[in-house]
Amino acid sequence: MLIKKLNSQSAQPRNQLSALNILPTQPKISQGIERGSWLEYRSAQLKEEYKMNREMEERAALDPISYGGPGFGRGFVRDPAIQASTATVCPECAVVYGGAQLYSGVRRQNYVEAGSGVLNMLGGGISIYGRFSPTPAGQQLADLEVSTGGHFLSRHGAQTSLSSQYNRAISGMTPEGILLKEVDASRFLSDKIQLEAVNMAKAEFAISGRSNFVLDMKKIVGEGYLKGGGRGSYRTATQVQASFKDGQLQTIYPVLKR
Amino acid sequence: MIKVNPIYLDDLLAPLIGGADHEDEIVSFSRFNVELKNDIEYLAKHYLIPSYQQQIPEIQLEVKRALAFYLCYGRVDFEAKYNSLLLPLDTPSDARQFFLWLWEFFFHNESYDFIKTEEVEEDFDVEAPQKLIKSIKDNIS
Repeated sequence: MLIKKLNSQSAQPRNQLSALNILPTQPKISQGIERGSWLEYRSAQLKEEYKMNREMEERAALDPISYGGPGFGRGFVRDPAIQASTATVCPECAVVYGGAQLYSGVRRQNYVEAGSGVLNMLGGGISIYGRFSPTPAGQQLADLEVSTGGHFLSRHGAQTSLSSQYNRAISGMTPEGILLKEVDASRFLSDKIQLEAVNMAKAEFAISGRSNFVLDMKKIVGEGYLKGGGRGSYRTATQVQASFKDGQLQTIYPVLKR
Repeated sequence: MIKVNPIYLDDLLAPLIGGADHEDEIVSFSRFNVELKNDIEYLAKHYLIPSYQQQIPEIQLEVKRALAFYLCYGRVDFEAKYNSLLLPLDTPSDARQFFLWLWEFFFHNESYDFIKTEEVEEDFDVEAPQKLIKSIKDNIS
């Protein structure tokens, strides 16, 4: 609705648009650009954003677990140039946010809480953000990941989107935006399930001493896409693969059914 | 009657499992070309076989039987198995050939045909290795 208003009134003077409270602050990058061309630019930018939002809403309606479930809100791709131009820096926490959602560089395995419960993840021009309600399980997993130097939460956690997993399966780009190898890409359905798997794996490691093993969780614990993606590549998972190194959990991920 | 379980194929590649989640391992193993026999031989001799030899003899035997059975009868999708392990290596164009090379380097001049003389039952319990270890420990105590 906001976009429609702006488009229909784009010929109005800037102060009237400001009075309607629908005109965003002009970013620094546009200084020196004539007002008319900037409005066109911003209008196109908002149109694109609106289109992506609608797309995400439609996908959320079809797939509420991925796009509307606990720990995850919406996500969409933004142009890094736009992010850079519209970002602001929080003077208190040094987190860069605002019109853009930028990874701040604060090492919390690429998750940064900016403001009231907004989770930012970014890398390589891909920004995914959403309302984030840190659960006790999620907090424990985050702490464990930091202490072990693993990537089981950042790359397989429930807060990653299904679309980011698909992206990893077809391009090798991890959910936090690091370009690695294409793999079977999977995520846990919830922090609680992942923590349960982690605790089971630690207990198994203590008993058997095996560094790599698969656990049968006897329920659906994860989902994702087979390497290469494509039609029919979506799979669920009832098993998890755990890998320990030097006594520390290195990774744990849902093993996709074949 | 012996049981064979494809989960034991994982043990052949144990030191590399999950490596695709780690940038440093991807960099470290990027020098190996999985299409080249010499590269796989180096990988096997320096990484995979030492790890295999650290396993208890019972696990080693299960690994050998599983590899022999699945090379012989082809009842497993080697590529799917390979990809499920998130290895820090590219997927070989012929995954069966990759496992065939592993047989050659792990078991030298032996033939995997020995499995044909056995009465075999397939088992798909993914927790079989852990259960085997537990049963051995229980027997000892």
